[in-house]
Amino acid sequence: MLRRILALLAMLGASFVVAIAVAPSASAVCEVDKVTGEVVCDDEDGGGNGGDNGSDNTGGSSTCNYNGREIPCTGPGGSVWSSLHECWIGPSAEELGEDLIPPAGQTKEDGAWHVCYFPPPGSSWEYTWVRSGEVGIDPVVLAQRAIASMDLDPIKIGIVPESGPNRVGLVGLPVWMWVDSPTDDTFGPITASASEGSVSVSATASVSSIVWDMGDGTIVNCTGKGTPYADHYGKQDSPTCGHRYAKMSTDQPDGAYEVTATSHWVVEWTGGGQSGTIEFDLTTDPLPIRIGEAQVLTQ
Amino acid sequence: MRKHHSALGGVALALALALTGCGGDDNEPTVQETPSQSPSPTTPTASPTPQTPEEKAAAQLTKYLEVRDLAQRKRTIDFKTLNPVATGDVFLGLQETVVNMKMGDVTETGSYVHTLGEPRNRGNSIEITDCEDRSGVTVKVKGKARVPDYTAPDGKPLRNPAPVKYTLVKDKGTWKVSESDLLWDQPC
Repeated sequence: MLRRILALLAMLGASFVVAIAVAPSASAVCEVDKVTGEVVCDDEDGGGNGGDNGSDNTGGSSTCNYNGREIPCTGPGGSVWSSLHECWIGPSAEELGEDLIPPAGQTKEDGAWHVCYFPPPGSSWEYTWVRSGEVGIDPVVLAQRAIASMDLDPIKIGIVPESGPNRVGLVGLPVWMWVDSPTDDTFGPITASASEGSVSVSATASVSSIVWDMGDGTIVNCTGKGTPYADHYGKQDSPTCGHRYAKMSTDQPDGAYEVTATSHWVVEWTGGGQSGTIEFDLTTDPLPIRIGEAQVLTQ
Repeated sequence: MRKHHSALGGVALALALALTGCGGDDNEPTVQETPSQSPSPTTPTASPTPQTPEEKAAAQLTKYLEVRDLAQRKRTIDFKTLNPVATGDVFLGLQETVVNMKMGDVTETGSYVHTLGEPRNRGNSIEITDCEDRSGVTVKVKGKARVPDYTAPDGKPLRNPAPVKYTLVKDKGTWKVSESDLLWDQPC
């Protein structure tokens, strides 16, 4: 989960306000991750590695220029564009396990050999010597690192009727939905910071709303955590987040509605002389909820 | 359907290039939409067979797959061969893949077998699905073979062969591979 968020954030470049759908969707583009061995799917709308097509750069502060065209300042893997070298500066040779001698007249204190990611066409795959402080980190990248360090997760669904093989709700009766046992990393607010060199960014993330897909075609948008159900509420509607099913779930796959909750995160960040907002969604796995009718259940 | 073994791909590529009669410098396309002007040959040759955009795109994809497979085996990028056949996300993605493989100490040995489906011309782009057979490929992490080599989002080993849909776009008159999408939940 965290890795996918990181990858998506890195690819989004410098957008101040972006929307990320984490769950693979019909338009997801998939590829293998050679390192982890996992098939990773990214939403097409939020995808793009930077590059020259520009269609994925949804605007924002960090647009760089290359050969008269605009490109994202953030390249593959969160690399930072260097106008001097005309490439995105990637990991150092040391990070790739290579111990290279600095160029004549330079020491390891003066800089480091780095990978250069080129927009097409590329010129050379040789390492590039980058002097210390020559390439400044993009504050957006630091904000993304801060978000990644929060290790955010989808909420834990609280719902009545409960999910389970012996649990059945009734058509027409209130359904209550809430965030079960909310924590900093499932609902916020949570603050983290990241820094590199002299640039430091602080980011605070909170869930602004939760979209409940009830599985019957109904979408319920709730602000706040919702209200946990207790027996003394009886057949009252939830005061904050509820639903009523109009039909039994018997015609659904496995005889149950599949309920998901998508939390919409809003992250406000500031640092490096800039500030901005990053938005993205985290969706739970589907939870089966069975709905029947009283006359059927009593037969 | 065209079947292409990446280790033997040079034959198909050479044929494709011969048909187009193209050359050019290192950074220029190797396949052109219009025939280049050249001096009349001094010896009789067969007239070049016209290639459709779909055939040209397929030839470019074949070339790209050869370049990509070699890049992953050698964990390095040869821009002289990559520039003429790739652009966009694919161009950047291959660079990132090579770097990540080095950082993660991942190696790949052996050869893929690529079987290209019929090209679909979308006007501004051409889509071609490659049925990629990786039976002959071994992935090692820190010297140990990874089994299964890849895991699908459903938690099961990634099927083999698996279809990969490629999108090619025109770049300065030449079809280049721009996007790829692993159709992990579909059979070839």
